[in-house]
Amino acid sequence: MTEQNDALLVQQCLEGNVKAFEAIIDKYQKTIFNVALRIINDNDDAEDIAQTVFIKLYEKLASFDSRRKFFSWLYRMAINESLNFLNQKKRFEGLNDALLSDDKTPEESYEENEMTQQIESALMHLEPEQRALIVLKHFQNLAYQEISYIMDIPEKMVKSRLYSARQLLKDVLLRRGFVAND
Amino acid sequence: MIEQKYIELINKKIDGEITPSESVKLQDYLSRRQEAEQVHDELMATSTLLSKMHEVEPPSNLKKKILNEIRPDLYNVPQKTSLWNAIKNLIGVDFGASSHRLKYGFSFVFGLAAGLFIYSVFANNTLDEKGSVEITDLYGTIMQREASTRFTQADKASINLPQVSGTVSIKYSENLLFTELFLRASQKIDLVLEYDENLLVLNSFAKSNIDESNTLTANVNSLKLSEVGEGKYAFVFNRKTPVAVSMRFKIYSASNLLYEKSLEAAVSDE
Repeated sequence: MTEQNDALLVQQCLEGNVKAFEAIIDKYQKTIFNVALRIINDNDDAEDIAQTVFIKLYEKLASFDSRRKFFSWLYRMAINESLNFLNQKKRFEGLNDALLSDDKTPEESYEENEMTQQIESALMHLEPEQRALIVLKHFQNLAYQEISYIMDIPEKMVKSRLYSARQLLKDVLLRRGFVAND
Repeated sequence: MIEQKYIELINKKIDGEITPSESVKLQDYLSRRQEAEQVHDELMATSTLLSKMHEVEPPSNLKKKILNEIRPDLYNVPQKTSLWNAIKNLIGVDFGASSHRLKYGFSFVFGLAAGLFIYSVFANNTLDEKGSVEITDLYGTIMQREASTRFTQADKASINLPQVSGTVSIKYSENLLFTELFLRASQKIDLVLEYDENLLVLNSFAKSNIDESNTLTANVNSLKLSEVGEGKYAFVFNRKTPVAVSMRFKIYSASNLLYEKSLEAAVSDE
């Protein structure tokens, strides 16, 4: 039903109905913003990425393959945009200390609780691609097959990289005492 | 040492992809191997922690920002409209049988208006003396077309204010500078474009909202468009020399400066 609705909204957009695109934004802006946020770990950058993703989505609507799931296509754009952003950032800034830093402004610390901060910080110890896998599996609950399409890697590779990412994340959380080691 | 196939089963269990028979097999293995059980418990705890992360609300103006950046007319099916039909639509009158004569009449009047305007711009500051020009009647009539003009995007900015939002961009060709604004103002605003008159001279102006009654005032080194509300506004300038130019955009509401931004266009690469 959701897929049918999405396909219908896309069709209406292509007929010049901007309200249909507003409906797509309403439906997916929170998801796309959160995907970017968990990969980038910066609200402003995540907002910019979400904005760029939707603008590109609008421009590419005519190329949407209706045999595909619309949200997978959208996720794919969001993941690519986030990873490209980090690549660019790394190229210009060298070591990405800001991402690894646990130092937050007082406002940020006030707003976030300890657990969320620690998980966000632990996620930043993963490679961006590993982080994307964790985001898609654990925060978006997508199947291996969907992740395979979104990340453009074979399903077998999705599994092995996801297992490694989870293992690494577990080790970081373990060191910080957020996962019990009985 | 945990066997690889059981590590895989632990991960499949976490991902909800394990089959009942695999689950039994894993359970049996875990009951016999304390080390494996520990890894299992730690990974499960990690997964549980991740599930406690809540989604964050996106900024409230994200949707508005996106809509300001897209081209609403991108997917409009283009309809072939002749200049005469456009004029009829513009003034909302069907002339019936007398259409043919009126068609030539309008062409003449439009041509005359366009000619007078271009003359006033190029023949030195008639506009300055006159002060202002009511542009409504000149809608879409005064652009000098260049054969196969290709514009290059030079600079672009977003406007996100409580009173007004939109985008402003400049494009250039070898001989022209094209300035395009999409604006949505909650109250009437005045738009000022500042530029070096030694480098640019106004060629033409057009707007999408024909119901809006604006006043275009030309001064030395600047143009002022008053009573702007909502729509698309385009200014075309002739470039006197092919050097880099900048244009400063200012938005006023009741004489208060709300927004100010300079955009740059490089030397033409054509």
